[in-house]
Amino acid sequence: MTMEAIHSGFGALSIEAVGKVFVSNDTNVEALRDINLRLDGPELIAIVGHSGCGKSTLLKLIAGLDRDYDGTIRFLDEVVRGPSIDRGMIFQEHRLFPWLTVEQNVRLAIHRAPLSRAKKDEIVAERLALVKLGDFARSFPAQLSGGMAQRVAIARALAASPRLLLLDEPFGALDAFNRMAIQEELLKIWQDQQIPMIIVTHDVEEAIFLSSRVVVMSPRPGRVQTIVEIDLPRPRDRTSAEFIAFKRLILDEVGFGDARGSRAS
Amino acid sequence: MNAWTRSDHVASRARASLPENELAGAIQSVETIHARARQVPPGLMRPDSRGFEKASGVALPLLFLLLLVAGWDQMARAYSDPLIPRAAEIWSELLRILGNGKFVGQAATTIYRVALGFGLALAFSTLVGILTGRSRAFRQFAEPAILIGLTVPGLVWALLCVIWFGISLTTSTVAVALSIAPPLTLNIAQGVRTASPDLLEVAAIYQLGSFERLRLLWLPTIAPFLLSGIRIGLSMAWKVIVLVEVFGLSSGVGYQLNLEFSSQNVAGVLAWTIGFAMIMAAIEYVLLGGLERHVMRWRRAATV
Repeated sequence: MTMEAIHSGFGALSIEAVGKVFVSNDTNVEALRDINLRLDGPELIAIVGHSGCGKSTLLKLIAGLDRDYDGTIRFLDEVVRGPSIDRGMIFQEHRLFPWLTVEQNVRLAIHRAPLSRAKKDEIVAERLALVKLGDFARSFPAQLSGGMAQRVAIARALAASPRLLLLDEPFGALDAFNRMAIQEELLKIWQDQQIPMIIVTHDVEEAIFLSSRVVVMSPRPGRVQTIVEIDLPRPRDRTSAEFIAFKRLILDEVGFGDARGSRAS
Repeated sequence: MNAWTRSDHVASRARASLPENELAGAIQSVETIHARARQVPPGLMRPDSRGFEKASGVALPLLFLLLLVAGWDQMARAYSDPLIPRAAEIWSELLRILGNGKFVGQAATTIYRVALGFGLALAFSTLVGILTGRSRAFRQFAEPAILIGLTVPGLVWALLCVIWFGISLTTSTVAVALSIAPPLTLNIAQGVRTASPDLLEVAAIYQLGSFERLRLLWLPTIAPFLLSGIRIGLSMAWKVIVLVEVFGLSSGVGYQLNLEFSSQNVAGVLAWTIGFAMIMAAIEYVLLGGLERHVMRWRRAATV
């Protein structure tokens, strides 16, 4: 598929000494402590960790959906102070507007853009073609399968021509086959469009398959435990020995190495 | 479109565009399986069920109306009292008021008055309802007003407005608006509270303006509540407007009812009532039903 790159140039994200405390009536829960992370160029990184390690919280801070935190988050040399069309977000649920058609849902992302009607139509058609849902432009979300709906959500996020794409467990609700197919598709979009992406996942295999770095976080409070460089060539074979070795390494890091350890000893 | 044929349709589209490339093929064959799984086994479908439903949808209400007319007529014959007119008398009375153009003119007057009061209430309730649903403080402030408004009988509003505003369009407008604003506001406020925080987050990310938020998020969210509020409101408005016209105005269906009542023409009272009920039923079925089908068409798609 030939398609002009959605944007030119890419943004740098820097997260410096970021902490986050949730304050409720009389208990304070420290969700994040001293997070430092840099993203240069169109890199795809994954964040894994137990639930409650603050990985989704971190993503929300980067998205600008929660402005109450310590430390600094800079994107394109500007401090993040709220949501921006530059930073697209894809959630675990597709979050499509059920009363809008697929086409209208994608169009929603560029509602405010100062573009002509024809140009907007063109962008919508292009992004739907990118996720191979051109035939379903006039369907309602309820008529789509889970995987198709999530691909519409991807098309919507891409329509706004983001310079950074944040994905919060985007394929967690899909079955295994759909998930693998959509992972390959996301990878293709990433290679095509050269958009930096951060994907939060609890699926270690997904993290290794997609990303160039896997950030492992530990819970209570959420910290960066380690960062694993995945230097496997693409396309990656999920069943190769090197792939499995990475899987072991990361599972060890998140504390699931015991099953293997007992067999090895 | 029938739900089952739609699944079929999805599957066949997926099949038609299959060999684009390997990846697309893989995805789409998964979806074809999904779409097929959603189809119902053929044995479970009654091929004539839709036709049957359609026929019974007309026949059963008609049967009820026929039984009602026949039962009334039997009763009237048994009593043979001038205060209980036979069905034929009511029918000829109905034909008379329809024939001399009186009904159309008077009904139009009444509907105009209802529409004015209704429009006022709708504008007011949408504003107050959204505020009540969004702001806790405003809800606590407005709740007593809504609760009091719900309990005050329409008759009281009708009497007060006639006393205060006399014979004028203000009387009917204000009386109708005061009677239906409370239930309408309550419904809209409840609808606003069902708004999905997930979609609000999406609206924040794409920085939708307030008009777009209203159009794309708030109105569709409150639409079912708004529709049921409009139904309740319309049925109340009709009762209140008749009272206002009986007490304080010199035209409209209510005034005509009062005239027929004072000359003890029961057939006339019934004819006016039946005529206006038919108009209200037409508004309910054709206008509101059509609006609901249009606004809720995305939800019909979901009932697979």
